[in-house]
Amino acid sequence: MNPRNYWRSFEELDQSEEFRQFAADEFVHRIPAEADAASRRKFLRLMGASMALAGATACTKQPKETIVPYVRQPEEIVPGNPLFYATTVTEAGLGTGLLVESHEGRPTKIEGNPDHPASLGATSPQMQASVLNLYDPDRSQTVLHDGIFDTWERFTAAFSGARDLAGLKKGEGLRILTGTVTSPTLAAQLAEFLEMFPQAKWHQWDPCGRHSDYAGSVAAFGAPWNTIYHFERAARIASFDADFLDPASPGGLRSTRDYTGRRRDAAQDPSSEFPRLYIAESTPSITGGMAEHRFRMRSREVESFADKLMSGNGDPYASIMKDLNAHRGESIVIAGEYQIPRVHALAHAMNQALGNTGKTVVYTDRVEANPMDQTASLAALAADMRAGAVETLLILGGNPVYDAPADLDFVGALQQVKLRAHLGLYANETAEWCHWHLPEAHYLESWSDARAWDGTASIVQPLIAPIYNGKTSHELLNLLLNRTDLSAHDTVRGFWQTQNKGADFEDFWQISLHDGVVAGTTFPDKTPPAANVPPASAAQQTAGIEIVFRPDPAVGSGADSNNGWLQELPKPPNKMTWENAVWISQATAQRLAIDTGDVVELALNGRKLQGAVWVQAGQADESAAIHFGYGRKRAGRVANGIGFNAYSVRDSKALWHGAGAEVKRISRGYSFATTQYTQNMEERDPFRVATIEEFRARPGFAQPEGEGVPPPNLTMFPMWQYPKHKWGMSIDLTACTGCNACMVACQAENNIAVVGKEEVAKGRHMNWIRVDRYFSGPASEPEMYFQPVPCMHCEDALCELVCPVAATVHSGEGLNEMVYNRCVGTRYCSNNCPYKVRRFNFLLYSDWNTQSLWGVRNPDVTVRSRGVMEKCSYCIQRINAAKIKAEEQNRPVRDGEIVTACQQACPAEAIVFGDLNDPNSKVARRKRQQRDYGLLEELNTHPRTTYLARLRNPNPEIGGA
Amino acid sequence: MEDERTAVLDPGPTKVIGPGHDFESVTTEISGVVFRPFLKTPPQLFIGFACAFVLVNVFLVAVVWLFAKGVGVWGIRIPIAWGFAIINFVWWIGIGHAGTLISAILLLLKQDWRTSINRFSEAMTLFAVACAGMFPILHLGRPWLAYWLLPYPNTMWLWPQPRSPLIWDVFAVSTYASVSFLFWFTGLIPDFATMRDGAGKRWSQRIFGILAMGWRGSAKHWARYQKAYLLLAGLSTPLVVSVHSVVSFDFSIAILPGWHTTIFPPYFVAGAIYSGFAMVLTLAIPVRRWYHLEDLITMRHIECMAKVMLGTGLIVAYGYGMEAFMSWYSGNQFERFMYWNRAWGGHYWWVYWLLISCNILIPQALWSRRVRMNVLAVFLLSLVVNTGMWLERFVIVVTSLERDFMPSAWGRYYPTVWDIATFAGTIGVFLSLMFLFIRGLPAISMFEMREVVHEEASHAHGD
Amino acid sequence: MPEFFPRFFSCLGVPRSLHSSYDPAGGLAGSSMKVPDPRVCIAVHDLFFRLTETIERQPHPHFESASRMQIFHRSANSLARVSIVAATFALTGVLWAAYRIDQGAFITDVGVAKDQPVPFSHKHHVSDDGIDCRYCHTSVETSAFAGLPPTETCMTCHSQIWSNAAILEPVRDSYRTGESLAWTRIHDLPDFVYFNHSIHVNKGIGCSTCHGRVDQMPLTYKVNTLYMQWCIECHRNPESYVRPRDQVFNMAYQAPSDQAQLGRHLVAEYNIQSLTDCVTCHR
Repeated sequence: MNPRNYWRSFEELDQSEEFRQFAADEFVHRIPAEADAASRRKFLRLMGASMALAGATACTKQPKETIVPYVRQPEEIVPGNPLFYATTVTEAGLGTGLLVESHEGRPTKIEGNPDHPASLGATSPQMQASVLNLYDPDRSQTVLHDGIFDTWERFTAAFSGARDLAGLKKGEGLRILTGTVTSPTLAAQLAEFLEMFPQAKWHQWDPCGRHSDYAGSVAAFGAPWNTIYHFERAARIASFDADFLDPASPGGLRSTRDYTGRRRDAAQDPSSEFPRLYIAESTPSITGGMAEHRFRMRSREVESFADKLMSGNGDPYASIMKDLNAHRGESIVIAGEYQIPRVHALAHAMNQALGNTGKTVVYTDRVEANPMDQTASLAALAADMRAGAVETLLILGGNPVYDAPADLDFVGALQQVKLRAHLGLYANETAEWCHWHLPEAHYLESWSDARAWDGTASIVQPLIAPIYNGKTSHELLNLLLNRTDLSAHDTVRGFWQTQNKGADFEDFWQISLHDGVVAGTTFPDKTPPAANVPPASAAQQTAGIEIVFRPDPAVGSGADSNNGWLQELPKPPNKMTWENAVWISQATAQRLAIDTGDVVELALNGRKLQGAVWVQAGQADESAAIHFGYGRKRAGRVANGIGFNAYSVRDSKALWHGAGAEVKRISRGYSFATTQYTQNMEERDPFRVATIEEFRARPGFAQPEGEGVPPPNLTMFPMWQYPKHKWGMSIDLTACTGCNACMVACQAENNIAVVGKEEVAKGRHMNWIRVDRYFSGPASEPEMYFQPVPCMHCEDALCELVCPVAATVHSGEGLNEMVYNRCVGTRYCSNNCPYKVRRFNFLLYSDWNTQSLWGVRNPDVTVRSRGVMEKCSYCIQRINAAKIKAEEQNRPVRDGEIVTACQQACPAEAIVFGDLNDPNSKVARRKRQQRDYGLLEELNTHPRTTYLARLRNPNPEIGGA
Repeated sequence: MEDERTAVLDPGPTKVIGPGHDFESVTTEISGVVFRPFLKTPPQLFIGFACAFVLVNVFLVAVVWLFAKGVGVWGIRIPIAWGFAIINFVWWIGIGHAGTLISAILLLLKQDWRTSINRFSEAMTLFAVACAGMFPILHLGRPWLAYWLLPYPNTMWLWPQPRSPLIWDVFAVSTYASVSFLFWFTGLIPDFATMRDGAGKRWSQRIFGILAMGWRGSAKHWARYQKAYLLLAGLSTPLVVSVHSVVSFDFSIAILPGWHTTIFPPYFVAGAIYSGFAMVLTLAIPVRRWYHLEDLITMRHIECMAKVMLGTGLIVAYGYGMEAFMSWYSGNQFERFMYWNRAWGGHYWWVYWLLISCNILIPQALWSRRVRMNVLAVFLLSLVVNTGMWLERFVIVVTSLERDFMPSAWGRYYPTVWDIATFAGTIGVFLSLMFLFIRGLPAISMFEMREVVHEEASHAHGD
Repeated sequence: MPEFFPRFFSCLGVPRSLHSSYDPAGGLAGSSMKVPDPRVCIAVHDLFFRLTETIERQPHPHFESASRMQIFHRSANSLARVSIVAATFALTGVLWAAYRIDQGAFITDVGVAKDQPVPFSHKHHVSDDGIDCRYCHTSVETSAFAGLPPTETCMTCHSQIWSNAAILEPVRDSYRTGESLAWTRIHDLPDFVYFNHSIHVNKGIGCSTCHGRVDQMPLTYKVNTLYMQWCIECHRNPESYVRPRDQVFNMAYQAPSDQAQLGRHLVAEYNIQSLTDCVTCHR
């Protein structure tokens, strides 16, 4: 199957007869009640092509359409009005609270839960995209026994036998492998299980879990501690390879909110100090992009960097240490997951030395139910399996066959196990090697619970009954505990009942479900003992090129690989889509005489992999970064066979970077699909930046001086007045980290199609809001800037002038309207748009054939057909909804009542939307700031979307900043 | 008969018609081309038509695929949303200019040398405009809705958007097409009558009879005819200027650097005439040879057309010069970058220099009379100019779009096989129509040639 | 040619003669040459006579002596003239037909009652039983979608009355099996049109304004085309359609004689805007 053809018709997707058979079979006969129900309610406008086309060609007879009401209508449902439910998504075990929009029982859009500490209303790209996995036609849909369709009953029968057998031996030879578990309920179940089967063992493995973080705290304090950083209180931050602004990192959304919040405030009032960020890292991250001072070095050199910094001698360490010391108690030293435990210990020690502990850095108990060295745990499991000590293995979620460190030879070991069962969302590589595979329920189909990075517990409640009769880990453990009749809901509810015995449990339960947070579960701060720093690790061999492993910026560890939205999401530093690559620096590339597009063979500890090279500005010399999440074999038709599997050279002894690799070219001429070809600004100033001093000295720096720029109303005609509303948007570049959350949020909200690698390579990606990336400064040590660019909704819009059929026109509220059904597709508007924010359906990109994907569509937004132009609408459907609500209640629209999808998802609160006619609206206040400027204002387009210029606060004592 | 023809020699650059012609011989020679038995058609014509017809089929395949899949089969993309389709459109429209110019303007300027080539070039105009007219529809994302560009009362209560140059195009091109057709057809009527009278077979008599619309050559008919012809000439003269000016607005109205230029209208018109005459020569020279019409399409004609090409070529050169100068003189960052990108920095800098050599450098050879008098040389030059003019449109459309204002949105244009197939296809359509015309209708105006004979005669009497 | 024009036009001085020289009998008749009236300028005569004569006197080998025979019957003249007029009429006719079809019931379904799983009669339920619209269309005031009654709603009554009527079998069946009734949509907008019932109802647009006298329809059909021009008509001047809020669900409501004045008043009172932005309905 060719992933590039994703989301077109089945015929194109896969010509093989059996696949179409399978598809038809799956979607027609075998379809479970709920999916049926969803497809039943056709008034949800799930009907795609025929309808749209019918209307498009004016005088065509409408085809017959049926309205199918409920038989018994749930009273909370008002057909046509969406409902929001609070639930929780877990990434590497850590929970983040969500509010999920549901249309007549159809979850369509993920939003952050403002009441949940890990979200505060923000979401990561992966969270936004997770709703797509729910409807993924490639999801595992039936129980598989040796790869053949089977039933849950047959499995329970078979497995109960094994359980009873193991029971006789107190569970000897019975093993469970899970990911990181923070779910209190699951933890309780597992505890109970281990009681019942004392000889049984519970192993954990998360390929991109918090391994070093755990080991680091153990190294420093002798026991596992959980570290929480308060960036809103930090004026100075030193990061040892810590990508804490990555929204997928533990508490990343919250860190972004706190850190950028302080930057925004400081930009506002001179009294508060503008934070300064130092970072030492090997491969460019969005955190590195925000840093005032980025020290480019190989990952293993970060340790010595930390040591030197601690000693505080030499340049630039002295000046950094001086700076940190000047801000005792309001600075943070943070070590990244990608560093060895000793660096973490150093960071802990420095924080204590700087008096940050208890102020900007606080400690709590580990949030994991059973914190352990997962690498060791997995290694032990592999050893036991190979020794034949494991008779029955139950793998709850995860995909160890794909993502276990290569040196463990997990597959080989696995085959020694007599009975292997795998529970997973997909029948993935691991399922292939298991006797039984069980479809797992998507979290939007599940009852469960989870803890956030700060310990706050929240309930996972389903929005839709399992589409494919998936099961949760709870149900499987109930099977082990011989409680097959107990449902996941009863299990979770039952657990929390044990937590608060009392008459008011029902209220507690309802409130917890409603708020999406279980009150009073946040872990209290504790003071750890003095951190001791283990002796410097023995000098490693430094010859050869260092390989740096990272989860992919878009698809992460690989669990979400089969997701078109994420695949097409450009990786922040190079805007590459649909695959991973070997990132190397210019210097290294020159030394090795290789270039972007060359396919190389990486050899590390005797293991080899082949991948295409991308010469990446900001990458450390003699260091090659490769990303997980690709090289999937059984992910689904989107992710199968693209990129290479970085796990295949990962070693359990060096999880995040291995030294001494050889790189040699095999062939040339591989081509990538990136959404941005130009690296720098070409002597133009779309992105305006100044240091805090320059800003204080000349607050209007963002406004170019006099010449060239016409006065705002230079026109022969009177400017149009907007009596009612005057919508506008402001994007704060000081806050924007370039995390891409806005892009996926927009895609989910506005039914934006996925086009595939070939089309992206042709510059035909469809994202309505793109995040431009510019490098500035020297090529070796560039500064990396990100700039989200949606439609500017120009008041004098050039696109409107040239459309022959008035398909794009101006509304009375200043919106630049795009009317799909009027568009004939001359594409003149795009030619005349100086911002090039218009997207065109060159082919039929929207999938009108895959029935299961109809479910994810937003019924309030037209699904575009072939041959029409589309672009950012400022989320007009949300504007209209709010206006209608206000009108019906006979009141004006309140500021903040309309939140665009991008704004809602943004963890940095960089995007603000509102009514410019209301002088007190948040957006109006922002636009009054002196940093405000518009893109290409000299063209006299009067853009409604404007930017707040970027501010930096480099240390004057350090050169080259 | 063949020998008799070859005996008639080219009378050289002074005469517009060979010696020893009387009314009959002219009529016979021209109508002979049509009345010739099918198998006596020159083999070159068969071969030529066969090749052209293959291309027609290529065109059909390309269009079917296009409609089945969408414009995505072409190389267009964001930011280069216009590609071959618009380039070809402008190119064909440009070629379509020579006809009206020769027929109308030269008529009013009383250039007698136009006579033997006007019919021919009018037909060429029609077919070129037909080819051009297809592209605006083909290039639509939803071509089945092309009629929305026409102002007609509809259930949506919507009208086209009159500020858009594309709407002006609709009217400019359709007007031009219809007037050109009328002009061409009116010119044919007296000859249809002659053909009718000459035709042997009943069916051809009837066909020509219907086309002749009862022409009996009465003084009254001639009176009406001359009046109508003169009026049409007057009517289409402004069109020669207007059509390509309007086409040039498609670009100059847009804000894009490299498009947003006031010099476009005049220099597009000049360029159009340039390519138009080039195409007339490209077609006339072979036909003249195959049918041995050297005594009707004489060196005089060829030299005159060569001179017109030289002249318009110089105007075009001035246009290029001005573009370069203004981009520097404007002091505008984007304008300056545009020219740098077009001529040196961009992906397609070589196309620009190719165009300069095709349109400016090489045609300078026409200054030499020896070149102008060399039929082969003129023929090759006309091909060079046609190529150059196509490249000019490519440079304007593509290089300007590839790199405009936002560096982050820059892209690169690669045409696909379907782009090329569609273009080649229209060439096939054009040539097939041309071959059919030459075979089926008097390609040279008989009665006007008779007038020329009459002139010559009266001159002879006069002095 | 150059000096040809003056010579030629000089002959136009004597029109009468030209008229007299015109002979309808000639018609399309071959090339039977009409010699111009001698009073016509000699040059012209001379020129044209020779032009044509030459051809006729010495026929070319190719030229069969077809010259003088009649090619067309003289009726061809009238045929030609008629066909011109006919073509004009034909074209007009086609356009008119197209317009009629576009407006006609075949395309618009106006007045066409479609068959439904149950022949539900609004007339009976509304007029005879006096059930309010909102009893079944519950969400009309709160949602974009007016709402269709769940089978439950039907059964509230029909478990008691007509509890075993044959035509109600589908309803009972649905209630039993949990399979929904599938009603055929009567008022069916294209998918790119977003209509919202609640705002219209709240702004004083009555049910009957768009749906007609549903209370008098034994079988439901639509009374308006729902074409864009029909929507725009009201969106451009709501004052001629708006009614007092308390009259919205009154099926029998008649616009008062002073609608113009009342309308202006209500538009002001309900703060009704004439929304004709595209995005009001298309997004």
